[in-house]
Amino acid sequence: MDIVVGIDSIKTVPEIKPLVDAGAEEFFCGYIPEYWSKEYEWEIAPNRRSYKEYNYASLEDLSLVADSVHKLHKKIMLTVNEHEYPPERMGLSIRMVKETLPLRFDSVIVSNIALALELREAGVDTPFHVSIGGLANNYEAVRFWNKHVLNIRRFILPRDITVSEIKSLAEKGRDDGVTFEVFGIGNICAFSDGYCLTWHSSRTPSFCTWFLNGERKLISITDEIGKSVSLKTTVDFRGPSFDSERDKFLDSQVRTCGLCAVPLFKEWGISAIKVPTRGENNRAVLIPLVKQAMELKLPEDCKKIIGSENFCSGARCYYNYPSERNV
Amino acid sequence: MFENWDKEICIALPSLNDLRLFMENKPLRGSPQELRTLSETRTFLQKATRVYFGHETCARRLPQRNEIIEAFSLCLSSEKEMSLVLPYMGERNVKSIISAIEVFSSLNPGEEIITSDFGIINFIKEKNVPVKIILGRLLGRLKRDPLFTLSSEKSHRESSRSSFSVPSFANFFLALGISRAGFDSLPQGIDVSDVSRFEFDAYWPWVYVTSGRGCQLLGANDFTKGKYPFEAPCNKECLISVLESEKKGNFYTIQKGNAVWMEILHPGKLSGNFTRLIYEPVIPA
Repeated sequence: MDIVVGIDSIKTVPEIKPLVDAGAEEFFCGYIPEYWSKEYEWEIAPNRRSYKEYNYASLEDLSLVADSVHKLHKKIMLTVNEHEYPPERMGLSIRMVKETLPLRFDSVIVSNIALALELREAGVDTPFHVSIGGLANNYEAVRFWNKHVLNIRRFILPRDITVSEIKSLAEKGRDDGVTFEVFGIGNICAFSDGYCLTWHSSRTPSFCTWFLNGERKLISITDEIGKSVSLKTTVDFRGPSFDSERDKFLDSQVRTCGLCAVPLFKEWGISAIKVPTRGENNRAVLIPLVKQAMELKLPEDCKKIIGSENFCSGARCYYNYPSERNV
Repeated sequence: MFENWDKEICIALPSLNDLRLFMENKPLRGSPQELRTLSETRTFLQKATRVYFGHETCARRLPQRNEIIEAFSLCLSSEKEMSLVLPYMGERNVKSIISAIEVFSSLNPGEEIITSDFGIINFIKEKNVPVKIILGRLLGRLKRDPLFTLSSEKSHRESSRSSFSVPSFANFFLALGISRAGFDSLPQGIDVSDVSRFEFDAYWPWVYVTSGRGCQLLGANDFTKGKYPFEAPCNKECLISVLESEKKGNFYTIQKGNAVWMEILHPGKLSGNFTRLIYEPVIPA
């Protein structure tokens, strides 16, 4: 089971090797060339992160990254995983992928089925990984993709999925030679990425952060305008307070965690654990944690790695395993 | 915007209770803002010839078999057509959604199912279920955001365009026998004027923003569940309350059920073969 890590600015072997030494086997990255950013500035991206600091901006840099990763005998993937590609952006995205072909990316991460079909039509035979934006949230959807698009190597499962559902998918996938990647640690989305239609752009705060942090009102549903509103409670989703030094560290660096389920994923033959760290500075913390969890057999032991009952109380859990509700 | 709409009007109702109230000409239920919006737009209620019945975003709200049967009977007796709206599904929801598809298709073969889930599409096609598939608006993934205003005219124009304008995308679905798709009536408008052989639904006035299988309403009374209460027991809290932020964005925003919605009374221009208005008297959640 590989650890897949997002990268954004590091390029050379000396910069990437520490991540490999810590346990990273695969890397993914984004590319927004100048001819794209000139058209759309930083408001619209070919992948899900229209931030300068999340992407490589030149073919030279991208070439250096790919070369460095391959020199370390590891794999690197290119993300072209936005949800929508109208004609102009479709054309630019195909151009981008084709110009990276000499760099021998090990796969292209896609979400839009038309882009996948167009890339195949354009002669790109690099294997695909279907991103969470590809909406393969159940096995019928996996079969849908496999039926219509050639050479899909892997499906990335969404964040909002239960451990028992991952087991079911892994079992079905084993019969059909389908492999999966799951999220293991790091920022969680409160919503379902493939069905989240908000902007993630450097021009505005993230909607989810804005909407979910801070106080909200519960308002009654009624059948009369003007009927008195029942303010049942104010709801604050900032979650439990993290006062200890350990909790503060976990809050700032780990944020959300699924390590307790990692031994199960290994047992079920999941191909990879995703560590989403594009634009982040916590890779050096997260990769060793995942690596440690992969060596363990029991969820309780993985929780000991985290070392905080408060942090593992549910609010920061990807999977909250084991819980009677999750199996 | 839709005052002079002269094409088909459908009404979106997510639950049997909503449908009963509508058929009995009784007041619908909603949050105060929904009811305010309804009072401004209610002229569309009586013009509807079809009901889009069902919930788009939450598999926990999937109508039961008996509810689908009663909904169909109510529509039949009121001489309204009925389309079944299905939510996207996780692996554990597959059996119940298949059951809903089977009961609906047996009631009225050839009728419409609205779905935003590739797995549901795959099931229907592989099993040759006798229904007509309509792509749900959650697959029209043009961006929308209560906070965001685009600065460049180019970006603004681009944000009204969809993958449907790429022939391979439209042709892919046409080859599957799918020739109708839904879009929200967005502030920036929608431009599918270059898409042929497809018909489009325009949903109005509540625009879908985002959703997830973890429902914040489940955690509303217990902050230790945080933002991500996925496995909390569901008592359909969404039937009795909604969540409203204290902060204000560019558009009125509300969470009803597991999904967030914006109110867009005056959308941008809709260009293309829009032949149905899907009127939402209250948020269809």
